[in-house]
Amino acid sequence: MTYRTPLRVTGIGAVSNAGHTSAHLWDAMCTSASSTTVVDDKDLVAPVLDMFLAAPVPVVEHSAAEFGIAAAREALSQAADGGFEAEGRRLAVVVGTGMGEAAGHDARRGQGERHVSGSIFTTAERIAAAVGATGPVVSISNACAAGAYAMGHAADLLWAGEADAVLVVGAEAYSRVAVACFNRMNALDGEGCRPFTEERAGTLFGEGGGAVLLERDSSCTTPVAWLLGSAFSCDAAHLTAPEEGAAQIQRTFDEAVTEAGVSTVDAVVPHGTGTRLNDAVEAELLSSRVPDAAWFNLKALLGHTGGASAVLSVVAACLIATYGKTPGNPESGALMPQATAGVGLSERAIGGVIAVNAYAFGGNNATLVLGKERP
Amino acid sequence: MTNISAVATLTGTTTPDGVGDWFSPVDFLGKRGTRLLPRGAQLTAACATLLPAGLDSVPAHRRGVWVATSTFAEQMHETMDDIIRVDGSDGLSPAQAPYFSVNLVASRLSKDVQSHGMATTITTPGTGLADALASAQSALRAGRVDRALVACTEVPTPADGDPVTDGCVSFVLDQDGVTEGMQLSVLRGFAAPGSGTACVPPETVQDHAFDGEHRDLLVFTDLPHSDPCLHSVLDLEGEGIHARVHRLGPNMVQQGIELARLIEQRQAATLFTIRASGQWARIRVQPVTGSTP
Repeated sequence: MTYRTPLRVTGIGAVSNAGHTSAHLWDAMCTSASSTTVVDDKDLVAPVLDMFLAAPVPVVEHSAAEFGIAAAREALSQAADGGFEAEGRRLAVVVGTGMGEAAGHDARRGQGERHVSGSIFTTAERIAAAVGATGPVVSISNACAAGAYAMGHAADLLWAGEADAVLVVGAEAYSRVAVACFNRMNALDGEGCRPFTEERAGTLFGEGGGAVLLERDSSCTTPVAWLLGSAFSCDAAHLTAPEEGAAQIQRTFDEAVTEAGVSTVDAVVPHGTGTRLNDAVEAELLSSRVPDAAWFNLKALLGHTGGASAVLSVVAACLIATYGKTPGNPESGALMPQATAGVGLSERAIGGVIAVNAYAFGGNNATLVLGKERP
Repeated sequence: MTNISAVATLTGTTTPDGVGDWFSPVDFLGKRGTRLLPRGAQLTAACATLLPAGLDSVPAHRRGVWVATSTFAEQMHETMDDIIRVDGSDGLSPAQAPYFSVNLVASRLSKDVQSHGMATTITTPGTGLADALASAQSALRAGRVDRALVACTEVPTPADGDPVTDGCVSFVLDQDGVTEGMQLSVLRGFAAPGSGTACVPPETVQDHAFDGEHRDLLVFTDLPHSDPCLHSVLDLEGEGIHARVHRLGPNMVQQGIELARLIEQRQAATLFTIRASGQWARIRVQPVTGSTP
């Protein structure tokens, strides 16, 4: 594994409930500003219809591709400011999305169309066309961990020499089917998204897109951050609940930190969905593995943006690295005992190593480690 | 070097009225919990039972699973949405509700073969099989896993009146130290329509990753037969090739069937996929010789 060298993050972009740039995201992280909306869908009757919809953004419609394109353009623009040139280089696009363009199919079925033709997973090719990709264009759909798996595949592409730069995008928009199924599983919390609190009762969905430009060799001498380590696993156990004992989640975290070659993790953007089982397992992991790390609960702010969530977490981690601090967490209620040390309500100055966790039902686990500097 | 060491094929065609369904999941998986599984999960799990033993000769955490599908989600979502729009979320089966997320097919397969390595779900339309093979190959090279199970499964939504071909094709991939099987090479790229760039870069296609001849060329495309891109690919592959052009639809399992057939026949060949939306992928296979490094 000698060629698994650190990779440069040379641009970031974000569209979310917080606004349509990564600067808006950082502002919201620092002020805990967010809001939910009751979705207006005449074809859905369900107990919980609250969502963190994407804030008014300069996009044509609420579609994953539109969110992804906006985030991608911001990431490329930022990278260009740092010296990135796409001309003559193989630019790949790897997209993590759970539901792709399902909203469009939902709408057509709602209008009476039967057997709607075409794949819902055209998000990647639409983003690729918009940014002028020339390398591989891949759609990865590992549910809530899709963006993290996209980061891993992007790293593999760069290490294998299949691309010179990879635009990693996580994108998700409202889906009637997804919201209905989460309602049926009693996995949504009408009181809000309250990660690591004693009263948490489920998650709430959000919309958005995150983008990261990843390079191995770059003319950019001052990258936003470095991707130092990445690891993945599957519980191969229960379909929706984390594995008892969490052996694979622990192994994944340990492998990513080992690959990163760091002695400590200063901050974590946890998966932290607000569901009973996920948060219990993750809080136990973090309080035992990195007891001094500061956590930032991004989903309390943006909701659970599904396939976009891990890339948005990476963007948040890059912002934390850039500013050298974790903002205070949104106040969501009394915390679990294992989370009280990590989840601070006021900002905290930190070192430059940040871990991002992403988990999905089906037992798909991922940990990414980012650093302000290369060790 | 990445090697395909085993393949399994489980596909068939069902008439529009559903009479004569070719697939009986209980025959492969037993009765317990089988009937509640969506058909895509049944097909993928059943197909894995057809693979020869040996997947477990590496530790569970060193095995990985990849599933490529571009139609399972649409079929599943349509079935669910028909219920949702009439009965609301309470009308859904709690046992089937998690399967709205397409990644559960790979998770179920990982459970069946006890794979604790990464389980990746690829949903790129048209080129998803090539993407899954390439992703597994790059994960093997990066040392993330030592053995990969790649399954391509499709459950198309039936067009009115047409018979439906569905099924699964599975491949086992290994890295290094192999002396038999079929060597695998995958190249991919993208050229946006109207961008003015060559649809498939000549310098990429004209590489010589493998020694020997590749006289068999299968092209899957949704481009019109007269499209210059299609002709340029046929020209680039050289003189004297035996080319067959297939119509590319959303169902990738046909590509899997053809690739499995070539592998079982130990036949060197190239399978090209070109989508009008811009993606292209080239899969090449050739027999491994004992002296191959």
